[in-house]
Amino acid sequence: MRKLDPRAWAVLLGMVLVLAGAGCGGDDESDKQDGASSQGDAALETVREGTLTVGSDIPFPPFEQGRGPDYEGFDIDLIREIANRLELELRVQDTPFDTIFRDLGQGKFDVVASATTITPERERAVDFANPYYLAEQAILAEQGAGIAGVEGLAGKTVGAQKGTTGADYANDETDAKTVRTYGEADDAYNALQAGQVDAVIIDLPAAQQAAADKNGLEVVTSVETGEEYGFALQEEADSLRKAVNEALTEIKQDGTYEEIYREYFDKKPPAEILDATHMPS
Amino acid sequence: MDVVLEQYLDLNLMGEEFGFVFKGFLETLQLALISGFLALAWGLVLALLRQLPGKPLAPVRFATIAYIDAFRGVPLLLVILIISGSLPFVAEGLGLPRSVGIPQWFGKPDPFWYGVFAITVTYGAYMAEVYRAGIEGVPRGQMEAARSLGMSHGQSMRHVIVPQAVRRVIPPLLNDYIALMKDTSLVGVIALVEVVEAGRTVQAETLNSSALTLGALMFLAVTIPMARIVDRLLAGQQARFTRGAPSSA
Repeated sequence: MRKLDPRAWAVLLGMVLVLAGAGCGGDDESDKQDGASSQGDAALETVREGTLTVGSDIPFPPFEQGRGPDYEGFDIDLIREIANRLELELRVQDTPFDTIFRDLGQGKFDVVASATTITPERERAVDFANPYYLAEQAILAEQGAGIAGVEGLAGKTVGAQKGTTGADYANDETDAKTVRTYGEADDAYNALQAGQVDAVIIDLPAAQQAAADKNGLEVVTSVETGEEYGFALQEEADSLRKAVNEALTEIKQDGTYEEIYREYFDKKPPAEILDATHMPS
Repeated sequence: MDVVLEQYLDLNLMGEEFGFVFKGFLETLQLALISGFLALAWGLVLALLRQLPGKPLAPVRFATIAYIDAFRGVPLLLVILIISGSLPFVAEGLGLPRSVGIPQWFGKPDPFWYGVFAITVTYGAYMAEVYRAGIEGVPRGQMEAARSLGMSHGQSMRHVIVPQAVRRVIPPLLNDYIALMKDTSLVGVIALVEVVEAGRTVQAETLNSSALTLGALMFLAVTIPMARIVDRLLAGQQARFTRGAPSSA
């Protein structure tokens, strides 16, 4: 065999170091897991013992935003409060929205907290806890674009986020010429700013946030759809779902819900949400 | 295992969604054909610019090398995102018409053309290196002979060097072309409904991933025959350059 060039040795050494570094990271991870499992004596069965693993497509302000591992947002603060009350450690995992329910079904997380509307289609794959937010859709457009309402979308190119109720609405309820769906809400906003789509249909609070953050965009109108957000859980996780529901009810009743709601939406929560319940079909 | 079969090989779903996914695949093919043709041409232009002789043309050579280095070193996905995000503003800033910043030529949506542009500039750089290998593989004596017959550098390239060089590098160019075809799926991030994006749309709607498998099968139906063609071309070349083989087939 030919002798290896010293440079080749250097490259090999570098590769070994990188791999070793990755290996150490992995060890750390498993240590934490052991630590958590020894202290968590609650009977709740979760993907990782002692931890509530939450899937969320971040960013989607004001519901989920910030940098990991300490994400924030209405959903995240709410689920953190729930995890605290269940004496579970919260672990939020950023994940694409279009596969979020499949991944939940596969057991990658315990809960999806990602501004998810309760729909019958989703209900076939997952179970929802009680509603925690009443949502509407909104049409976001460039200022002065002259789109007045849903009728104004006829023949236009409309953007939305893939797999969302906004995308369904654009496809089913408008006369848009084309509906373009993007992986992240932000990509849809960028396309709108660049003039590649004429309007974006997305949940109202997200649209308001975008209008506040991005130059030249405005919320044209909100669209009453009567949607309810619910945390989604795996289909057979009945005891965890009950526990989440109990904690959520507690949070709604003792005023913590209103506190978090005011922080993100700057107003009193509607009375209907405080006693809203949902039975999985 | 049943879950995997149900999630990825639901034949009913594949049948129902075949039309939609196939429409996406046609988009993929069109994107691959147009940007592939442009990248092949642009790569040759870059390779020739890189070979320009003489001191006065050194800046052109350096600029070409810098271009090739830059685009070989940046992920295509980034190029797509940057072009799609910036081109409308650049065109507006330069006072160009809207149809340049947001091109919708020949009835194709603008993400299609951003994709064509990004793939052409990126793969042009890869292919330029393949052409260069071919040009530098032609014996020096060929150029010297052509020049001593009174041909200019350009004429020698056109009539003597390039025809020989291109013939040698057809198999590696085809390999790059197969890679290009697969990379068209990256244009899905800017909402072009090509085959992968079509599959993901179906996945988001039905919570079932079988449409992705269907897309993979459509790809294979095209890429496997292309790989066989590359093999045959290579075998033919091997025979031509091997001692004792018939000189031309």
